[in-house]
Formats: sequence, C-alpha cells, structure tokens
Amino acid sequence: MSALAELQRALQRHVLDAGNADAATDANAFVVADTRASAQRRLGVYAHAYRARLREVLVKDYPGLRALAGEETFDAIAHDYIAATPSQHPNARWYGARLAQFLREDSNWHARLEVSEIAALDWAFGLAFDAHDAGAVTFDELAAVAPQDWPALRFVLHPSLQRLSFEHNVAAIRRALDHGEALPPIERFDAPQPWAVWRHEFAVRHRRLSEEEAALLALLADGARFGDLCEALATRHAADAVVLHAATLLRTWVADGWIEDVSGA
Amino acid sequence: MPNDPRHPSLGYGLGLRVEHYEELLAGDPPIDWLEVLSENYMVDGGRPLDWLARFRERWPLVLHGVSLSIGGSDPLDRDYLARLAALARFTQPAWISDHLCWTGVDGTHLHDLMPLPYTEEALDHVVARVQQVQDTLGRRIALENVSSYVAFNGSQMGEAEFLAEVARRADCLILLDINNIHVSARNHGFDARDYLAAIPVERVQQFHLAGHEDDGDLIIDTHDAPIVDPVWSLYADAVRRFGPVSTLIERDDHIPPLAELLGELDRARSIATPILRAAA
Repeated sequence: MSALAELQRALQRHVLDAGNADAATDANAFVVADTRASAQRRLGVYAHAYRARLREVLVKDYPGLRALAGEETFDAIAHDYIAATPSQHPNARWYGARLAQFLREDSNWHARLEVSEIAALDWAFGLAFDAHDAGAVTFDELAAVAPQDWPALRFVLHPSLQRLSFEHNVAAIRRALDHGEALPPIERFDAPQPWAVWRHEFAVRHRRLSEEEAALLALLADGARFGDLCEALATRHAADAVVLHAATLLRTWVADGWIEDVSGA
Repeated sequence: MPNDPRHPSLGYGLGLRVEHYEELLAGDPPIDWLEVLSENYMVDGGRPLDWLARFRERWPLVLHGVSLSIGGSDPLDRDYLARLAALARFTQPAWISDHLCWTGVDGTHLHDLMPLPYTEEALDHVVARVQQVQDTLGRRIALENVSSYVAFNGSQMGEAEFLAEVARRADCLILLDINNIHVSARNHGFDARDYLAAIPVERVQQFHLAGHEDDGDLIIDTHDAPIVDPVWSLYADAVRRFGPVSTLIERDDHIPPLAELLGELDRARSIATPILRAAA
C-alpha cells in the first residue's frame, strides 16, 4: 500500500468512525499538532462536517419525512442512516437512495412503516424531478394505429413514472406540506393504496391509482401487449365492456403523459 | 505574455444558486459570468438542465466540481469523467475546475475536500491524474486550493509550492480561493502573502472570494457568510500580483438575497479596478 493510500485510509476510518479510539490514534499519528489546536481537534472538524453535510443532503431530499417525523426524530433517523451507510456514489445526489429500505429493515425504525413510506414518496419525487426527458404519445398518434395492430401493441412508460403502494396517508401529508397547509394526522388504511408519481413537463405530480389501474400498469411495465391488457380486463368485466375499459384507461394515461412510445404496430 | 495558457478574464461572476434563478433571468444584473456546480447538473433530464440552458444563453458559464478526487488513491472514476464530459458538451464552459484534494478511498465518498500530504509521491500521483483528466476532457482543468484543518507530518513542501508544481508539471490552471488561503494560513500558521508569491502568475485562471466562521483556535471554511476585511485585503494583493483574473463570489450556504452578493461583487470591482488601471 502506498504511503498516500495508507494516510487516506486512516483519515477516512477516523471520519467514518469518529468514536473509535483506535481509528483516532491511527489518524492522529499522521497529523501535525501545534499550539493552535490538537490533532484531535483538527481531525474532529472533518468528522463533524461529514455528518453535518450528509444530514443536509437528507434534509434536502426528504422534506416529507422531516415534516412527518419532526426535527428530533428526523435527526435520529439521519444519525442512524449515516452511521450505517457510507456514501458509495461520487455525487451526493444519490446518497439518500437507500433510506426507505433502511427504515423498513432497521430494528430502530421498521415498526414505523409510515416513515419508510413517506421516505419512499420523497425519493420518488426526487427521481421524477430529474428523470430522463422523454416525449409522450398523443391521442392522434394512437388513433392512427390500424385496428388489426392493436392486440400486439406494446407501450413504453415514461421514465419519470413510478408506482408505489402506501398503507398510510403519506401522500396527503406530502401534499399538505407542499401546499403550505397544516399536516393531517397520520392514518392507516384498511388496505394498501397504489399511487403513481411522475413528471409532467417540469412539474412533479402524484395521484392515487385504482387497483385495476395499478395491476394493468404493472403488466405494461413488464412488457405486456394491449391484447394482454384486454385479457386481464376480461377476468373483471363483461366481454362487451372490456375494450371500453381498456380505452378509457389508455386515454387517462396518455392525457397524463405516461406513455412515452408504442411499438409493434 | 508568451506561453500563457490562461483563458481571457471573464470579469466578475457569481456562483449560480437555485435561490437566485428567477431573479437572475428576470432582470439584467451586473454579472459577467456564472459558475455552475457540476454535480448539481449531472442528472438525466428535467428542470435543472432546462434552467442551465437558459443561463447558458445569457452568460458565459464555468463548470466547478467537487467530486473529481484528483488526489484520491482509488482509480479515477471513468463514469464520473464521462458525465462531466457530457455536461461540458451541453454547457460549453469557458473552463472546468475542481479541487486539489481527495474525497474518499476504497469506493467510499466523504463528500468533503480532504487535504493531501505535500509529498513527492503525492505530487507524482496528482500530476499523472491531472494529465489523464485533461486527456479525457480534451482541455486544461483548473485546480483550486482547499481550506484545511490538518497538515501532515510527512509533507516535504508547502501547499503553495505543491500547487505550483502540479500546475507546471501537469500543464493545468489554478483557481485561487483567496478565502481558503486566508483560512489555511491562520489554521497552519503560514503567511498568506508568501503563498501568493509562490504561485506562478501565468497559471492563475480564477479567484474565489467567500466567507468563513472564526472559531478562535481554527477558522472553519463555511462559505456561508460575508467576505471579511482580511480576505478583501488579500484579494487586493492577489490582483496586484496576478492582474486581471476572473473573480467569483462563492456562497454555498445561508444564501442571501442576490442584491447582497451583487454588493460584494461591486466591492471586488472597486478594489480591483484602480489596481489594474494603475498597472496598465
């Protein structure tokens, strides 16, 4: 190992594990101490800044979580996540990517499903905000598809579109926060609700999905054809109503800009 | 000046911050150029890149990154460099800068500007990596001196000598952060004027001006406060030595109203203009 790498590993270990006496001793050995400040004081600046900086990243990316949890709980969450999750990406934009999963799995937090749910919603908002730009098919383009081509038609969903499922009213809480309104109390639903988050032009939007809509979107995301959608609908509706239902859903999705492209026509 | 690798001065600029987007575009503020934080725009699409396109139409842009880790022991991150190159194609910056530092090792990122030991080994390492980066980007980069709180027992030269030697050997440019020189000079007990004297004039592409927090024993570089008088004084000395160099006010936190930063930019102009006029 080069002397440079050895120094960097010792300093990094100290920053990541500031309470570890061995790490502190190893790092101190590299550092000049003088009458102005001890090596410990000097290294402590970096250890403190590391946590403060990552907390700020989480504050920026998780406004809903912060509002729902309150400042003290948010700080405890940030503390636990930062301690468990060294950053693996050069861009701090991605540091918080695993927070919702962490909250679902961590023994301190897994009993509070609502915090992982709103974290997932916050993160989805962020992903939608700067997802790939993509066009959207228009009604006219769909109208130009020949009737015999419809069964084989496949749909490419817009890259910003994400499907989520919540057992709590976290979407209402985030909506209230974004509109500067008082937050509603946390409520648990009788059954999980499917939601969609996407970007339309430059605005991030979200809305609740019906169970049927969520199931069909899942099929589309897996590459199903329009014919497969109609088959799935046939298990729920009378045969003469299937095409109307499919057309109605498709019209909604096109209006929302969720269909980037079609193929197979 | 023969063999002067610098780009012409862009004048007096501001670090582009989201808090000022609307006001910048709505009016005609007396700003000559904007510095863009590269990582904020290394995204796939959406509004950030749309904003950037609009600023690109109005002002010369410069890309300023924090994640290159030019002194890091891990191999250079090719994916990061590819994203930076793509952003440069989109932005058409006058130049690209990052910091003389390392930001993590063994695949971990500290998201901080960690100081290097100023050794021959580190010098060889940094020079080789700057050359790799410049080959990839097809242009010279500028490296900025960081504020630091630790110095290392193994260092064989001062920071200014190290930075100067990197610039000469790697044929790169220098972004001198005047505040960071002041901060590190106080924290380590060196003379900020000696630092300026050790930096080769023909390598200095840009100045940064910023504020900090004085904790008594150490100065902490927060970039979240107004510029203090000793930094203004050091800026005047830098202008005397380096001449007309693109100057930028950089505020990273506690972003004030645009007018406050324009006031600081005015002060930079009012300091530099008579010095440059007298030297002309």
